[in-house]
Amino acid sequence: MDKVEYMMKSLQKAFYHSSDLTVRQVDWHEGNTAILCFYASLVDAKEVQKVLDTIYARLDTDKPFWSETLITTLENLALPQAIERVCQGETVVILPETRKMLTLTIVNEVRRNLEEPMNEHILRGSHEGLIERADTNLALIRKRVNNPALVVKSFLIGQQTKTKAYYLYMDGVIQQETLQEMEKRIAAINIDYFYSIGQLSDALEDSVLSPFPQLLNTEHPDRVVANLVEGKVVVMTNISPSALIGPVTFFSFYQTPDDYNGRVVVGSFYKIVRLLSFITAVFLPAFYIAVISFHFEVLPLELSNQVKNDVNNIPYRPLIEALILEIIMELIRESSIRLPQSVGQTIGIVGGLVIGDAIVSAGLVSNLMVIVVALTAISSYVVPSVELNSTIRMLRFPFMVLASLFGFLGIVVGVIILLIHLISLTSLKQPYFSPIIPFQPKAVYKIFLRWPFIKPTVQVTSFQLPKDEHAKNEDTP
Amino acid sequence: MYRKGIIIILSVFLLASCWDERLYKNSSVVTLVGVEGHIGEYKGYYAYPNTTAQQNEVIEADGISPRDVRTKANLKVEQTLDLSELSTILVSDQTVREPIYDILDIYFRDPQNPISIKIAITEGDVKPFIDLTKDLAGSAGGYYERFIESTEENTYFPKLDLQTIGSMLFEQTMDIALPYIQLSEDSKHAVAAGLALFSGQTFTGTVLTPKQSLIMLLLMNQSSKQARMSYMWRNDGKDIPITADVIHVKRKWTVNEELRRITMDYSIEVEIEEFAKNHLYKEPILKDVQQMIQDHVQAEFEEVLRILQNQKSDTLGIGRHIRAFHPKMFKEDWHAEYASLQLVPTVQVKIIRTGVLR
Repeated sequence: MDKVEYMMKSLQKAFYHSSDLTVRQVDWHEGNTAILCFYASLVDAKEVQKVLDTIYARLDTDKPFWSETLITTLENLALPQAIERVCQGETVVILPETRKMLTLTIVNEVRRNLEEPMNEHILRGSHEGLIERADTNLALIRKRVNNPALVVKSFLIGQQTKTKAYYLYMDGVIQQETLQEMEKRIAAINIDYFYSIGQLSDALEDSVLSPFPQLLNTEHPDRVVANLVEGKVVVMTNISPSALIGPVTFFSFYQTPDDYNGRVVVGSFYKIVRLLSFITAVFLPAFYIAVISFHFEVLPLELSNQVKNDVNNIPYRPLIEALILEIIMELIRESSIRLPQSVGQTIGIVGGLVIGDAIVSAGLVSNLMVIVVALTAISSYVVPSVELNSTIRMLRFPFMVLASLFGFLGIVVGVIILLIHLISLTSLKQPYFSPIIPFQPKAVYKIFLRWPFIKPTVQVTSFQLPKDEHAKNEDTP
Repeated sequence: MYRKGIIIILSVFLLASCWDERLYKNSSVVTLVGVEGHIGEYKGYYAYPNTTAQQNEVIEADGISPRDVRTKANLKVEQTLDLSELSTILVSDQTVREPIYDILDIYFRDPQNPISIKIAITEGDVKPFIDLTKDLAGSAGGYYERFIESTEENTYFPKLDLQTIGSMLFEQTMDIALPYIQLSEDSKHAVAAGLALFSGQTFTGTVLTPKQSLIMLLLMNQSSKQARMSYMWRNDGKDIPITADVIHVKRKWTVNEELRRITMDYSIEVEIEEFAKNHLYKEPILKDVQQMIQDHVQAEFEEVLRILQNQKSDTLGIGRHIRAFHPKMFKEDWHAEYASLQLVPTVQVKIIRTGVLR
C-alpha cells in the first residue's frame, strides 16, 4: 500500500470516521502529493482555498519561508499534534515526502453578536457584554487596558473536552499569593467533560457548600477591567460569557457600574439603599413572625388593633402563613424566568394581582403578610448579582423557622451564626467580610459611599491596607 | 460525630416547640386596668378592644388580691388576657388609702409588663371611668394615656410613669403626687381635677386643685411646654384679665440648719400671652403688672407649701436635698421632721416677652 494512502487510512481511523471530517489527497509541488485534513464544520473552506492558492504560488519561487504567513506555519510531522490541531478547527496539510505539516488557522467563526447582558442591566456606561468566545472577550478587555502588564495565560479544562480557558491579571498590581493560589487551584482542576461555568466556579471556590458566592460572576467587560486593576484574577472560558473574578468580598456583590457612572451623591445614596435592602430581604419576614407570635408588645397600640384584626381570622400559625406566600413568590419567580418574554408579563399580573388579592380575600393569609413578603421580594431583587440575590432569598427561610421557634432570640442566634460564617469565609484565601473583619476603618466608609474620582490616587489592591494616605481609590464597580 | 450533631439539632427543633409562644391572635390585649376595693376584696376591670365591633369590652372580676382578680377575669374571656400593651392603670381614691404598692406589685414582677405606663387616681369608684371608654373607637388605655400626657404638657400633672413611681415609693425623702381625675357632669368624659397628694405610700386625702398643681410643679421646677397662669389686673376700677406663660424657672434653696429654715428663692421668667389693654411697653404698666403677678404667685407658693407640709407630703424632694447637702439635719422619720420645717418662699417674676404685639 502507498505510504500516502496508509497515512490517510490511519488519519480517518484516528478521527473515528467522523462524517464531517475531510481527508483528501491533493497535488503538491513537483509531483508530490499532500494530504488535506480538516473538520468541515469548523473551517471556513473558501478562505482556506484562497490561502492555499497563495502558498502554491509561492512554492514555485523557491522562497525559503514560503510557508510562513500570519495564519500558517510549517512544523515537523507528528500525528498526535496534527489531531489536536484539527480538533481545534485548524486545517492541516501533511507533506509525507518531507515529513512536514502545514497548518492553517482559519476558523469558521461561530459566534453571536455583542449584546448587553440580559441579567445585568445598567443605565449608564458601556453596554457591551462578553460572549461565548474567548478571543472576542479578550479583545474587549485589551481594548480597555492598552498595557502589556495585563497578562493573559491560557489553560485547558476538561481532560476529554479540552476547552480553552484563560486567566487574566495585572502584573504589578496583583498579590503574588493570590496568583499562586489561583494557579494552584487551576492546576488541581480534575474534570473530564467541561461544559458549564458552574463546574469551574465549583472547582475554584474556597467552600463550595457555603450559600454565599465567593467568586464574582459578571458579563460586563468594564466590570472585569475595574476588578483587574484592583488586583484580582479573572477567569474566562471559551464556552460561557461569564467571567469569574476573585478574590472578592461580600460587598463587591452590592456594587454596580451605575454607582460609578452616575453622580457622586446619587451613587452613594443608592449604595446605602442597596445595603439596607439586605436587612429587609433576610430579616423582615422573620421579624414579622417573631412579633406576631412572641413579642406583640413592640407594636404601637394604634397599629396593634389593625394587626390583630388581620391575624384573627387566619386558620394557622404565622410560619405556615409566611411559607405559603414565600413559596408562591418563588414559584412566580421561577415560572417567569422559564416562560417566553411575551407570556412573562401575564404571569406578573396573575401572580401579583390575582393571587395577591384573592389569597387575602380567601382568608388564607393576612394583608400584612402580603405586604411583608412583597417588600422582602422587592428588596431581594435589588442586589445586582444574581448569585447573591438567590442566596439571600434562600437565607430567609431558616430565619423564619428560627423566629417561629424562639422569637427575637432565634433571630439573634441566627444572626450570630450567619456572622460567624461570613467572617470565617474566604475567597481565594482572602477574608470575605473585609473590610469589616479584619477591620479597616479607612476602607469601611467606601462600603456605603461612592467617593469622587477627582483626586489623583494610587491604585491599591483590595485586601491590603493602603500605606499611602492618598491611596484611597479602592472602589470597584 | 455526625449522628451526635444531627441529634442535637433535631432535639433543639423538636423540643423547643413553642414554650414561650404567645400567638397574637390568641391574646386579648388589655390596654386599661381599673382597681378598687382593698385587701381581701379587690375588684378589677379590664378593658380590651373588640376588633370586629371597633369597641372596647370590659371584663369585671373580684378577688382577694390584684393577681387573683386577674386570674378570675381570665375565666371570663375567650382568649387570654395579655397585659403587655397596658397603657394606663386607674385606681380608686379609697383603695390608695392603703399602700399603693399592694396593687402595683404584680406589674413589676412580670417582665412582659411595660413599666412606662401611666397611673391615675379616680374620684370614687373606677367603674364609670372604665365604662365611658366602651364606646370609644380607639383603645381605652390610649384615651387615658393621651389624656394624662396632654395634661402633663400643660404642667398640671408631673411627668411620672410606673417606673419612676416605683422607685419613689421606696424612698423616704420624696413623695409622689398622682393625677386625680373626675367624671364630667354628663359622665361622658374624664376631667383632670388636680393632683392627689401621697405621704409615703398612702393617699393623704388631699387633692390639689389644677391651679395649685401648676404652682406645685413650678416649685418643683418642672414647668413643661406650657404653664399658664391667669389673673385679674385691677386698673382704674376696671378688671383686665392677664395670662402669663412661664418660660423659665430658676430656684435656689438656702438651708439654715440652726433655725431649721429653708429660704426658697425662685425667679420666674414669663411671657404675657393675653393682655387686652396692651401698652405693656410702657414702663409703669409693665412694672405694675409684673408686681401684681409676683404678689399672686408669692401668695400661692406660700399656700401650696402650707398644704404640702400639713399633709406631710414632700413632693418637692426637700428631704432628698437635705440628706444630700445637710446630712446632720436629716432625721430618719423624715415626714414628721418635714412638717415642722420653716419654708420661706420668695418669688421674683420678670416679664421677658410680650408676644408679637408691642
